[in-house]
Amino acid sequence: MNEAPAPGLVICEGKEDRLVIERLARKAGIAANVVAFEDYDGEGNLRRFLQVLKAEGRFTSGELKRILVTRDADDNPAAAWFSLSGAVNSTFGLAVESPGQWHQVERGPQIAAWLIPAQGSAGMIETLCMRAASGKSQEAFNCLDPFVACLEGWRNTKLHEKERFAYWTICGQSDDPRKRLSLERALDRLDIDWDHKAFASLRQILVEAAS
Amino acid sequence: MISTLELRNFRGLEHVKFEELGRVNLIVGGNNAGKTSILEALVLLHGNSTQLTKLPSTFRQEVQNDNVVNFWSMLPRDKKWKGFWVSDGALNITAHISDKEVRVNLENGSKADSLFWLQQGGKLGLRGYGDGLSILSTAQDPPENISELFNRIAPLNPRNEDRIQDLIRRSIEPRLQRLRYAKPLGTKSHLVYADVGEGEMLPFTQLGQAFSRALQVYCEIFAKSPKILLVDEIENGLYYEGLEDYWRGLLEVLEDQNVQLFATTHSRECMEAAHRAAKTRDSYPIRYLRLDRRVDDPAKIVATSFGEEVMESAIQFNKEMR
Repeated sequence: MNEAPAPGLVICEGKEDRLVIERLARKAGIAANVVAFEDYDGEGNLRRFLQVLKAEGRFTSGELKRILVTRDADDNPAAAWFSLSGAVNSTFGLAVESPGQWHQVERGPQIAAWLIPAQGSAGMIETLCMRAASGKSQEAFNCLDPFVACLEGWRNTKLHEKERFAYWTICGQSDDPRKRLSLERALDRLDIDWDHKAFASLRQILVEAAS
Repeated sequence: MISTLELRNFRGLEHVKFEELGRVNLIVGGNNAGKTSILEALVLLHGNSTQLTKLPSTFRQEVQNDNVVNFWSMLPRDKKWKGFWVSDGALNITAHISDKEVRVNLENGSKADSLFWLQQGGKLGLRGYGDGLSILSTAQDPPENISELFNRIAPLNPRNEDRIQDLIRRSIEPRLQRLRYAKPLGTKSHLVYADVGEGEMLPFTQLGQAFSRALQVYCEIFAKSPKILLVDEIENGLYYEGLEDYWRGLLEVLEDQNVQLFATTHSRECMEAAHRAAKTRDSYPIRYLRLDRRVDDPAKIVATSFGEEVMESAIQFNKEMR
């Protein structure tokens, strides 16, 4: 017999975002049958993803009760919020003005939008992960930061946060060279303090999505 | 072409409205969500006398004569209303049903007619208001009937006969060389025979369900020139790999014969194949009409419709849209 679909849905910008946010949710005790996680493969696809969602049976039948739409703030949080709220508002006929506010779609679910790392701050999910690094993973920055500085000097340009994160996750991979690098493996092995205050507001909105 | 369809209190549908209908309207949704009800509403609006009288058993094969009373008396969703209303924007049907004698009164503007069914089974025929409607249910028409339609096309319209052959060759049977209406010695009826390069011509019934179905659809269109074609479970018998070619041919014919199609389907492959074929047309001809039961109120059915952009995105995101 098929399981009932999860009533909560969290929509993430990309596959890596989804992996991290879902891991955070599970660590916070949010079960898979309560909230599902999907990604729209890049902020340029968000509007079309939401239009498809609105036409899906799980939306129109009322299966979905709460939907949280997330994206990275990147370097320009104001522009990112404008884009995110615009996509949500135009698709669902809402007036979302602030992140984390739940709005009721007529005869539909409640929807909220959320910028990562948090409203007003530049950055992305990778920013939060690195802030929450602990133990050996924190020590890895002692090796990583000089390496990054050296690369930046060589390239004469600042490394993007995602690149710094990628190098950091390599540190957390298996020492077996036959195994392919993957973010999932890195998340298993990196010491990330999932209860760190860096994740507090994101964790809170995920709990709300599950309620 | 019909551009809107609205139903009130009709079978399981409290109120459903579809706007912006297309040349092709693919009706999807879960089991018992009301897909067949949409086809039945269209028969009420555009069916002739015979089609209306046969309606109880057209899409619901299990309905026998004794259950015809049940069919008509169960059409109103809310039995307290004892009636229903269907409209395509130009034609409106208001029905009043009295269950003492199961009298169905249909009113369409100045026209009115009724179907009267005594409990013991006596009946009057129902006069339909429409014409130009063709119906293909899941039950195959007798091969003789399909063949007879082909015979109506072939002698006077050899180009349409060639066209049917070409369409079937492109999408179903690439070996097809020609079709002929014949009654060989020793056989009882005329049938369409197909030359597929096997030495002797074979009756089309021996060439698989897809062949029969395609022949039936094209013969229906070319022989009867309907304005509206209803097809229940349009994907039946068609192998998934041939679906896109089938749709390409069908869309071509629907456009140049000016036929509007309403078809139900359970198949995601069918929807996606129709979409890929539709993208090759100058103007995208398909609207997808979906019916869903509310999980919080299963008695309530919600209607949604979407078009090319959503379907294209749904395929990109690998979403289930049936």
